Amino acid sequence: MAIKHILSLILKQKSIALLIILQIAITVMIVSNTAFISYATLQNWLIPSKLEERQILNVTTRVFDTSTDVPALIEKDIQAIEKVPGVIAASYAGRELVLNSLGPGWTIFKDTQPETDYRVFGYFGLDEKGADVLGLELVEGRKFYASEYIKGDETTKNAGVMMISEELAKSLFGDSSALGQSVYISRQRIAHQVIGVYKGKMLGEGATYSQQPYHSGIVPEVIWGNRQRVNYLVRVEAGVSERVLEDVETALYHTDGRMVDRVEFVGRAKKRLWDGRSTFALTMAGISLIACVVTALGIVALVSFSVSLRKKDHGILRALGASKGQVMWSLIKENTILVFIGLVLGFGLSILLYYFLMHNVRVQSVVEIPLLVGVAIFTWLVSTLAVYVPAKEAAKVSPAQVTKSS
Amino acid sequence: MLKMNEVSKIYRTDLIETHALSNVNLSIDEGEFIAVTGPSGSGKTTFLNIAGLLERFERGDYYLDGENVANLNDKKLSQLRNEKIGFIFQGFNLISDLSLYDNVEVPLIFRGIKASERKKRIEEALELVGLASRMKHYPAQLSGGQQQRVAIARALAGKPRFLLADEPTGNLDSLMARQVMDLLQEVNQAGTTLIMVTHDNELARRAGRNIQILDGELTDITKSQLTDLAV
Ligand SMILES: Nc1ncnc2c1ncn2[C@@H]1O[C@H](COP(=O)(O)OP(=O)(O)O)[C@@H](O)[C@H]1O
Ligand SMILES: [Mg+2]
Repeated sequence: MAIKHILSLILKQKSIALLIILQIAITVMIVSNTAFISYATLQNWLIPSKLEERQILNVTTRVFDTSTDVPALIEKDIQAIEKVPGVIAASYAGRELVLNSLGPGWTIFKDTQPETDYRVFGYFGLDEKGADVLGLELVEGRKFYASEYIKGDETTKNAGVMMISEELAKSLFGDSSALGQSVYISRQRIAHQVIGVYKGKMLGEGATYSQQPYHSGIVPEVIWGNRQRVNYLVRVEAGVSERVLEDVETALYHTDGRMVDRVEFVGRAKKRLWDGRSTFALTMAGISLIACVVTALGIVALVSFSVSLRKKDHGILRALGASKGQVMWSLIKENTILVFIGLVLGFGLSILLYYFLMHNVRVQSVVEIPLLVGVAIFTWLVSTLAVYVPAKEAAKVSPAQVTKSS
Repeated sequence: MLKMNEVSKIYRTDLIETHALSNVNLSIDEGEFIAVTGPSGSGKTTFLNIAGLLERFERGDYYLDGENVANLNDKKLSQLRNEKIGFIFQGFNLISDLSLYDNVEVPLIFRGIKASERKKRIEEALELVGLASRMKHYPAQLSGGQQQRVAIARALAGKPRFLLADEPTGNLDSLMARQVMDLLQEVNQAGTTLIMVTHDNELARRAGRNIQILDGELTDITKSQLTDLAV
């Protein structure tokens, strides 16, 4: 049967056709958004941290006794951690690596002009051993001098020097060297001179914790301030057993006035960063599966009904010389037309749902044409499989029935 | 061109076996017009269905244009049906949701005929049955006689070697029946072999050859035997 004949037949069963189209459109809407969200989540997952994720530990602790001598505590902690078997070195960390959350003020500029563009920026204060613990590789310049480190309580001073990542250097200064250049942190434009450029380290480059990739920098500051957080970065030997986590925690456990919040590999921290979002993707995948099953069953039921109404027509087609395959094929073509209309409608709905989710649920999602093509093929396959069942029944109609019932 | 040797057809249900056709031996030449008569339930439709490849049979051989069709698969049978045989049914069997033009077109599409050739054939066929001006109409807009003429146009557009008609005038009043019969006879005179099942002795008399079926058994009869045996 030609397309125009099939269209004539579809138009005579408008309500069945409409129901199938609607089911397909809704399924496409759900499945394509699942694909968008899963794809965006996967892209996040695949951002390399460029860290030895199983050789660096994040240790976060909280000091609740306000009379604690923090510098002494830090010194004692670092010694204790370094005694743990498997640990190579420990250093004080101003902020948690990886899980560091960015505030709106985290920006860096290349000059003090009011109109200059900024880069989203997260920076980490480390002590003398920090660079080695992280395994920093310098591309240009030098490490910090011992004299450049500033340590203490809340301080209004700042080191005035910093290392920045290669990506940030490129972004700010293009092909010219960043060494010796001044950069300005936050809206207050606190000047720092770039003394070193390191090869992309830390999740910062490209990580999108607040839907925004950020660049990273390192300052030689050990400032615990009045915050209760005292954190460490620890480098352990490659292939060390998980027990090292427990051992580090035990080493810190005995100090009064302080609790150990977390000891974990940065790989674990990275995973946690995306956990919430992959949960959303999985939930959507579950809903998609249900939508596909419901739609497939719906198509089986609707097409079976439609076939039962047209039993006589199929017998006529058979008598006129249509093979079983041709009868089935005409039903599959008919379904394909409905799928096509459903897809067009569904893609429209998909974009609407996409904008709704982006603005109201703040999920991470990305519209990709190849994903839509995939969804289209997938939908056609599922619906064709569903049509196959009643189409096979339709093809069984005996051509002789048209002569027996007059 | 059509030859049956000892063809038998048995319908089996849970309770009974019906010998709808028993040991049919028959040979039909190109261009013949054969009227098949016999009482209701005697096996006329069964015979026509088997001749038209709509049904399979249990025993015997059936040669259509020299080809034994007993063991052909569905695809091949469908193709032969589409190419060699034109059907006309008592109940017309037009597809009600398609226009007259589209109804005539459907079997031509199954055969894979080109669009331009299809158009030519459809117009010729509808012209022949006198309905060219109504090809955009739907079956429900026509009288029974007109619908049957569309069915004839549909059968003729495929240029079949055989035209099989199962009580083609059974649902028509006598005037329309005569018109349809005239048309079929014209087609036969143009060279198409015609096998027609009918209850109507007057129409049966127009045939070149008469066959009667009684309890599944087929015999050639003369025109004078028609009145006596028809039911
Ligand atoms: N599909 C079928 N199943 C069982 N019995 C059938 C079937 N078709 C026809 N018959 C039986 O076969 C016999 C011949 O039927 P048919 O060829 O339709 O007769 P006619 O056309 O001469 O009235 C009848 O007894 C009928 O009841
Ligand atoms: Mg009959």
